[in-house]
Amino acid sequence: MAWACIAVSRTAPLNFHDDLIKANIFVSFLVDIALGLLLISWLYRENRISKLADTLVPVADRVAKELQELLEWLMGAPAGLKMNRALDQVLGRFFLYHIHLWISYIHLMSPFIERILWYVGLSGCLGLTFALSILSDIVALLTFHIYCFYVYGARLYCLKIYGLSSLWRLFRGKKWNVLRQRVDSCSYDLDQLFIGTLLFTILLFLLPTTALYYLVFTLLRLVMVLFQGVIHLSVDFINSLPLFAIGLRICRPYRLAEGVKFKVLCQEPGTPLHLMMEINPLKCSSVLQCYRTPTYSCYPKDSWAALCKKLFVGELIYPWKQKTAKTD
Amino acid sequence: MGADSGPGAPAAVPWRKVLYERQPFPDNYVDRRFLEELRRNIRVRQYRYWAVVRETGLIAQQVSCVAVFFTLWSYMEQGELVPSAVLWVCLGCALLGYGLYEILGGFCVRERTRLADLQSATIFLAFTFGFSPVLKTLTESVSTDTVHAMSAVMLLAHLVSFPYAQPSPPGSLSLNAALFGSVCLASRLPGALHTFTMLSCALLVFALWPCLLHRVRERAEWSFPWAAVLVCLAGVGGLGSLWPEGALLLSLALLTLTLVCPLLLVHLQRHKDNIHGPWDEAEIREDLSRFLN
Repeated sequence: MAWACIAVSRTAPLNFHDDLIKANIFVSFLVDIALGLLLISWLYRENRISKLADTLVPVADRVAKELQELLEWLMGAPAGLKMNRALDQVLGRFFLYHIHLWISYIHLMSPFIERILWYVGLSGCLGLTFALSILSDIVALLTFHIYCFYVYGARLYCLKIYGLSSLWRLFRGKKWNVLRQRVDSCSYDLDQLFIGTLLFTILLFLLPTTALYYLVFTLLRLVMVLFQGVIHLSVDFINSLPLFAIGLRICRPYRLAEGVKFKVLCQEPGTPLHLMMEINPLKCSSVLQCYRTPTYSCYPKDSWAALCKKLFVGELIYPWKQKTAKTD
Repeated sequence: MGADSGPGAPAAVPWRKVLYERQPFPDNYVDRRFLEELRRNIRVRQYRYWAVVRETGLIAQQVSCVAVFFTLWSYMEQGELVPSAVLWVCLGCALLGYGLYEILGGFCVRERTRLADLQSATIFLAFTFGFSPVLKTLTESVSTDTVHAMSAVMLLAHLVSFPYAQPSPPGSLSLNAALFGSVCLASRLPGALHTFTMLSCALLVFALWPCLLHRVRERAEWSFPWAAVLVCLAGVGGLGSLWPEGALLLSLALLTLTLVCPLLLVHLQRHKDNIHGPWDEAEIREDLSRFLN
C-alpha cells in the first residue's frame, strides 16, 4: 500500500493569519503615506495653495448666490404651484437672512483662509486617507448652512404632519389611546372641537408651502450626504485593501494555500506510487475577502423602505452609520 | 323531514327536544311543536303619520339652517351687509339664546358654571379674532370652484352625519365638517372682520342653535313645530331674495322631506317582517344595581 508523506508546516495557521493582517496594515499605511506625500508635493508646487484659497471664497459666494436665487424662485410661483403668499414670504425671508449671515461669516474668514489651507495641506503627510477625511470635513463646514436649512425645514414639516394627524383624529371624533396603542372614540368639548377644527384647516392649507421647502432642502442635503458618503467609502477602500496579501498571491502564490493537489509521477507495478504535491493557491477574490483589514467602515444605517418612511414623516436622517465597538 | 307524519316516526316513545339522549328518531326529526315559539314583529312600533311629520321637522330645519347660513354669506360677499352690524346682531342673538336656555332650564342643577361658559366664550372670540387674518389668506391660491365644491361637500357631510337622535352634545364629525366648510367660505370674503363675523355666525348657527332647540323640545314641546316652521320659512325666504329658483327647489325639497317621506315610511311599515324566538341574544331587563351594595 503506497502512501505519500505530507509536509506539515511548522507555524500554526492562526499566527500566520495574524501576521498577514499586520503586514497588510503596515503596507497599506506605507502606501497611504506615500500617496499623501505625492499629494503634498503636487499641492505645494507652483503655489497651488494660494490659488486654491483665492478660488475658495468666490466659490462659497457663488453657492450662496445660487441658494439666494433658489429662494427667490420659491418665493415666487415655483413650477406654477400656487403657495400661500404670506407663509412663503415669511419662510423665504427667514432663510435669506441666514444666507446673509453666512456670507458675512465667509467674508470675515477670508484673510485667514490661505494660512489655514497651508497648514491643513501639510496634514497630507499623514496619509491620503487623512487628507480625504479633512476634505470631507471642510466640505461639511462650508455647507453648514444647507444642513441648518434642512433641519429647520424638516422640523417644521414634522411638526405639521404630527399636528395634522392628531387633528384629523379629532375631526372624526377619535383619539389616540396611549395605553392601548390604538385609536379610540372620544367625546370632545365644544371649545376643543372648535379650536381643533380651526387649527386643522390652517395646517391643511399651509401644508403645500411647507412641503415644498422641505423637499427642496432635503434634496440639497441628500446631495451633500452622497458626496460625503463617496469620500468615506473611498477612505474605507484604501484602508481595507489587503495590498500585501495581493502582492504575496501574485509573487509567491505557494504561501497562500487553499489546499493541496496531487499529481501522479510514476505509477509502475512493483514500485511504490510516487505523487507530487502542489499547493492550490487561494483565489484572488477569496484573498480579498479573507484578509480584508477590519476598519471603522461606514455603511447605510437604514434600508430603503425605512429611509423613505423617515423622509415622508420628516424625521432627520443621518444615513451613514459608523461601526463602533460597543453596541447601543 | 316533515313534522310527525314522516315515515321515520315510531309512535311508541315520544320525541323529546334534548341532545344528550340517544333517541330512536333521525337527527333532523322535528315534531308538530316545531317553531311554535316563533314570534313575528313583537316590538314593531306603529308609526302615526302626523307624529312622524313632527319629528321630521328637525331634519327640515337643519337643512334650512344651512340655507340661512349660505344666504348670510352671499350677502356679505356682495357687500350688502356691514360686518359690524351683523356682529352686533349675532351678539344680541347669542345673549337672547343664552337667556332663553337658562329660563327653560328652570335654574336647576347645571353641569357647567357660568364662569366656565364665560371662559369658553372668551376663548372662541379670542382665537377667532386672532386667527382671522390668517384664515382670510388661506384659500387665496386655491381656485374659486374648488373652494365652492369643498364647502358644498363639507356642508352635505354635516347634514348627513348630524346626530338627529341626540343633538344636544353636537357630534364631532358634523360640527367639524360645518366649521371647515364655513372657514372655506369665510376665507373668500373681502376683509378680516368679515371672516371673523362669518365664523361667529357659523358658531351660532351650527353649534349653539341645536343645543337651544333640544332644550326647547325637552321643556316646551308645543313650541318646537313653530320654531322649525320659522326656521324653514327664513331659509326659503332668504334664498328666495337671492335666487328664486333655488328657493323653489328648497321648498320642494323641504315639502318632500316633511310630507312625502313619512308617508313612505308609514306605508312601508306593512312590509316589516322581523322574527323573534328563543335563539335571540338575551337582554337584561331588570335593574342589576341591587347587586352592587
